[in-house]
Amino acid sequence: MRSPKALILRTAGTNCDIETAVALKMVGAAPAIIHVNEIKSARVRLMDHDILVLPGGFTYGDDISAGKVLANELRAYQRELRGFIRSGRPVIGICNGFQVLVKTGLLPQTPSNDQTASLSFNDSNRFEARWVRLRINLQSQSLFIRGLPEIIELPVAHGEGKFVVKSPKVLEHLKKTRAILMQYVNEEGKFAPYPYNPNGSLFNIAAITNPEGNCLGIMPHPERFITRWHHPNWTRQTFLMDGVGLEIFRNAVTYVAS
Amino acid sequence: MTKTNGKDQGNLLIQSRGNGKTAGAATYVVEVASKLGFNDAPGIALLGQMPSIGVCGAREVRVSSLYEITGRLSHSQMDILGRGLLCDPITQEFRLDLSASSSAFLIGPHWRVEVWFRPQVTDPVGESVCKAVADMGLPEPDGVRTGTAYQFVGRITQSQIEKVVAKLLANPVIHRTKVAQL
Amino acid sequence: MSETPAAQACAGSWTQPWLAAPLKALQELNARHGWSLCAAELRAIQAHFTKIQREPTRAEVETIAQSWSEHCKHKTFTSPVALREGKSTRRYKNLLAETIMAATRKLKAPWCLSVFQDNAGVVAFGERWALAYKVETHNHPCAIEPYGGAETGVGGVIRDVLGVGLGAKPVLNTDVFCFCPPDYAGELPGNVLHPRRTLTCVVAGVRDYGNRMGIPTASGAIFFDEDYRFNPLVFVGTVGMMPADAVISAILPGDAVVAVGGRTGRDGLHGATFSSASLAKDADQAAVQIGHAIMEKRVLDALLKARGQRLYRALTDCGAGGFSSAVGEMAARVQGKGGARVDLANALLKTSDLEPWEIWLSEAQERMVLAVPPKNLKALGELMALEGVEVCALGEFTSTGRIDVRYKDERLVDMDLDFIHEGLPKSELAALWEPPKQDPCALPRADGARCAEILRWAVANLNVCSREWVIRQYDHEVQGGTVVKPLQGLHHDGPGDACVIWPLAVTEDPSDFRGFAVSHGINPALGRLDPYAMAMACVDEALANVACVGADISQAALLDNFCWGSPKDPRQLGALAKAAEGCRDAALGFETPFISGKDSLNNEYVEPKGRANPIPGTLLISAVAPIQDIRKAVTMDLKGPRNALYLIGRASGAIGGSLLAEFLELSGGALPEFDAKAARDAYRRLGLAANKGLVLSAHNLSEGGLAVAASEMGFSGDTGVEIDLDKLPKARDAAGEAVLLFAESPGRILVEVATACEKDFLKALRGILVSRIGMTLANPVLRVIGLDGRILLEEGLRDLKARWQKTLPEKLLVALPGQNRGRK
Repeated sequence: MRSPKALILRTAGTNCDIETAVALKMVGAAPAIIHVNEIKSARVRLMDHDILVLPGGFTYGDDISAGKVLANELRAYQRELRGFIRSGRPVIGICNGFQVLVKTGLLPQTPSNDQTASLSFNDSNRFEARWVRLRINLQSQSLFIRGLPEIIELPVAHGEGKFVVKSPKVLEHLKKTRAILMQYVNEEGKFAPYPYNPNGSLFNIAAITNPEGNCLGIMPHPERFITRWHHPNWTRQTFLMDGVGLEIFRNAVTYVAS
Repeated sequence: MTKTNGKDQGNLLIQSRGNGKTAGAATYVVEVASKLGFNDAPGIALLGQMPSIGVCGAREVRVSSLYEITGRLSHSQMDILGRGLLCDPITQEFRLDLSASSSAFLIGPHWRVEVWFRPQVTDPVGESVCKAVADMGLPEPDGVRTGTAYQFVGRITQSQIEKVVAKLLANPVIHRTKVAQL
Repeated sequence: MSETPAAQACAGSWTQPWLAAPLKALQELNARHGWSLCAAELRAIQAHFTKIQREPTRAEVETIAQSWSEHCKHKTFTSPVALREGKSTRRYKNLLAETIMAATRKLKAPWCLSVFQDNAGVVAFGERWALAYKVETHNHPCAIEPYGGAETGVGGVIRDVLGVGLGAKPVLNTDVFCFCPPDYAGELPGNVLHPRRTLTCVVAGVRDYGNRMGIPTASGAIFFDEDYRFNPLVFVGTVGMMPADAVISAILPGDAVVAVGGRTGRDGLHGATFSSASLAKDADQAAVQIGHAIMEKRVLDALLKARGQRLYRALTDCGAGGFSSAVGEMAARVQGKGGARVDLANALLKTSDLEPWEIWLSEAQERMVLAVPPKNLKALGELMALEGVEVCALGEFTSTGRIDVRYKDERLVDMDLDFIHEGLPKSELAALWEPPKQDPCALPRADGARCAEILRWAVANLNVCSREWVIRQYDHEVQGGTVVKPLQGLHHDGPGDACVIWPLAVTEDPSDFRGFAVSHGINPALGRLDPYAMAMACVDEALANVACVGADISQAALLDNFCWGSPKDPRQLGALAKAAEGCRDAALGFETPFISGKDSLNNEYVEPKGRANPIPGTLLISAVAPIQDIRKAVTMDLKGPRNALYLIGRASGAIGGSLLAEFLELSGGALPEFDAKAARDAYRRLGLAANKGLVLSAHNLSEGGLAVAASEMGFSGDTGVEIDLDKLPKARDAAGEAVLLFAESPGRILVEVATACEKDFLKALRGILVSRIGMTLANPVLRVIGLDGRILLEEGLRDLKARWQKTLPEKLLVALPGQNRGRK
């Protein structure tokens, strides 16, 4: 079987590209870390790839606002990006990548391409790194969550992760299309405020998808939980989990391969 | 640039960016603030800190970002810039004219403090804005400097506001400040 | 823009005649230009130019001042020192070489690949890889502009590691701070920032630079003491990883001198000489800069690619002294006699109004200098352009033995390398050590209620309490390799002894389970009483910490960072020399070499009337140790009830410098004897036991001693502890229960062992002083059985934890989300 080609798009300030490539390699993909200038110069073509990943980091320092300068730069490639998504290939934006997807108007998906949501400053007014519990919407069409349990744990690390929407209609539409993929919850699996909801996100939203389920935007970092030794509690005897983040990448690869 | 001591050193690719001000350049100041209804986290944090230096009369603090843009850009291009780049369409509003009022900007009496980097201090955000303006297909600015505006509502005296500036907002080593009562 | 007097003075052209000038005139010049040169140095410069029969140019004097600065040359530490102690005097020809470096030489560890010569110390990491570690201080800039100072400090130490050998990829940042307590209410001079502001801004600077660079900041410490109110200390470190064949670099004559990264501006002139001077009333504003993390990230990404293609032969960072130091150091490394020829007209500038000598000396950030074979210039230029990094070829390395700097036709510098690097005159410095007078203090007898009171006070003490507010702001898991995190335990909030990094983002091989642990030791309170004992205790603490996570200390390496007051004061220099001797003896005792070090002197505030306020002599020891299999790493949280608790080591009755002494308001106090060899054996065996899976948790006894360590282990695992003080091995003088609970004798680790593994554990630790002192409990309490067999105290661990957690946020006055609502 041919290894699915994954394009990990980076630019100045991207910093989760290598660990993301390691995760993709572990599940059988052939990742290539590509600088946005290589797309610009047409040295590399997006459509030659099976999977697109916008990894975490601080693209262009998150100047103006997180992901904004890269989103602005990618506007010139919006048609190509939309085509890639429409072709059904997996696209995943992690943390900064999610911020970029939202600020280019690719997520939440709308006919007009307008930005209808945003990821704004954390209520705590500071960057925070912590592990969170997430409840997965198992009704969603997302191709990334097959075989995952309803509750998972992943780390977040961001200063601008508070999911907000332009109007209540946007949230209604997200709910109706089962596009809300993951929500921050407490130990009992219930919605709870800070620190369970680490940034004050609307409706505790941590990850969303397009209705078709092939484009994922996620604030937590699945590439940081790809083996059991990544979990903060792996030294405890009662801990039995494997790296659940890896399964998200595996689902993308399996989907392409089938 | 590529030759040293008469020896051919190869063709180094130099990306240069103009230092000088282009003829016909104008300077604009864009102010970006949270829309009403969206959390102004820095403002809330600052309001919480002020009692620690003995300033307790403030009722509200709002924080906004300032961009001083110099370049061959028209007013309508600046409008595109403000809308499409400098403010978040969901959570923020911008104004080009500092007297323009909207729900995001205070109208009633308040203190206004502007904190800017001194001219010799590196301004990384300004550099990113230059790049982003060029990415939009607009003329790249000659220079962009960034700053922060703080607006205080409540019973605060001049000396209190100066104390807030000195103890919490600015460091004269790298910043210059403007204080005004509006 | 308001120009500072210093900047104005520098902008003028250089006209003073040197050769005929009396010393007084030279000293005036020295003061005006902020060179920080002493009389002997000024005379040496004069003599040199008299010999070659011409006036020095301004750029030449500036170059020499930079090269001979404390920052670049460590001239105090490498000077001859006469240390008088009691009636005897010991003489060192070179203090550093005969203490810390001598220990390394003697130990001859084969896995030390590069020590005390390059920008960072380098040790082997398996067959294929090497680890580079460097810790720097950035104290003066952080005192003046804490955010920018912290940022540029982090940026600088990252470049050090990026500039070692052919360049190492940064995989871990460390940060250690010494601050005045953030709730300090005393008077401060107008130009001194309040410690609360300094702390929050320094944390923000470390956070913003490290997070943007994508380097996990996962190891650190904060020590609070009011004597840091004028001079906060900020230690920043970076661990980098490189292929083993990239450790050594060589420069050939004819290689191009190439600058990459940020442009050169007026920012940061005189940073190196600035760090030699004590914090003056009006600091030179140009010495303070703001960081540009993304510029440095671009340089990092581009250089690692260029390293892969071997496009350059060597590199170094542009730190203090700018091009003058970077090109000067590299010129000295060129094969043959060395040398470099540079035309500064080729430099890319931020502003066009720079004087040529300013270009040469500017300390603008985010720049690196490379030695590039001319045939690679094109490829390098293309690679850099792709990453958005600017490149300029300044000149070439030569074998003339000279530094030749021009600006077009104007000659700025034409000097022998030998004079720059070897011409620094040395004279013997006087050092004096007198132990402080011991208060005869009766050791306290305390009943259970009193012990409980001390415990509740101790866990909430600023020097013990949780650092979570700081740690959470750092992205300590970027690169996906932080497998033992700084915050540990059931709820991810316990105080870990060390972090463990599994460098997957470098090896890209998830089947290679080798990792490394990093930790620190710092204890200025001990140093006030005995700097030698402080050095011993710091080395012990750093090594005990890495041993606690299961690392192999037989291959650990150490770094030293000295922050001291004025070396002109014989007492302060005496204390420094004693600490250096302590480092040497600790290194020999533990058989652990030092691989790199740094010193920052003149950390004192001189009042207008002349009274000096030095910081307490502060030594930071950083340790890095490999861990053969990260799957065997250990955390400090208790894992569950009904496990045995073992204590390694022995408590002594000496409580000098401890929290208990502080509680009892005892100023002096005796210090415990310490046997480094015994501790070494114990920690090595503990590492072996951990590797066999025999250790459930382990925690070093530091501030607050046994009682605090047991509480921390308990509340981090939500598991109770019962300790029987009668089971503790006691030194003859360790009588009272309070002393047994709170003494901070070094060499001690509390270990949790499953009852099924006790036999094997004891076998693994055969010959080591280890005692079974208690059990873990299901009920989350700390229960202590007194010497009389009755319960001395029983404290709820959740209550202790709440006290431990609330101190720092309270003192920093930080609100948590939810306490305020956004405006509607």
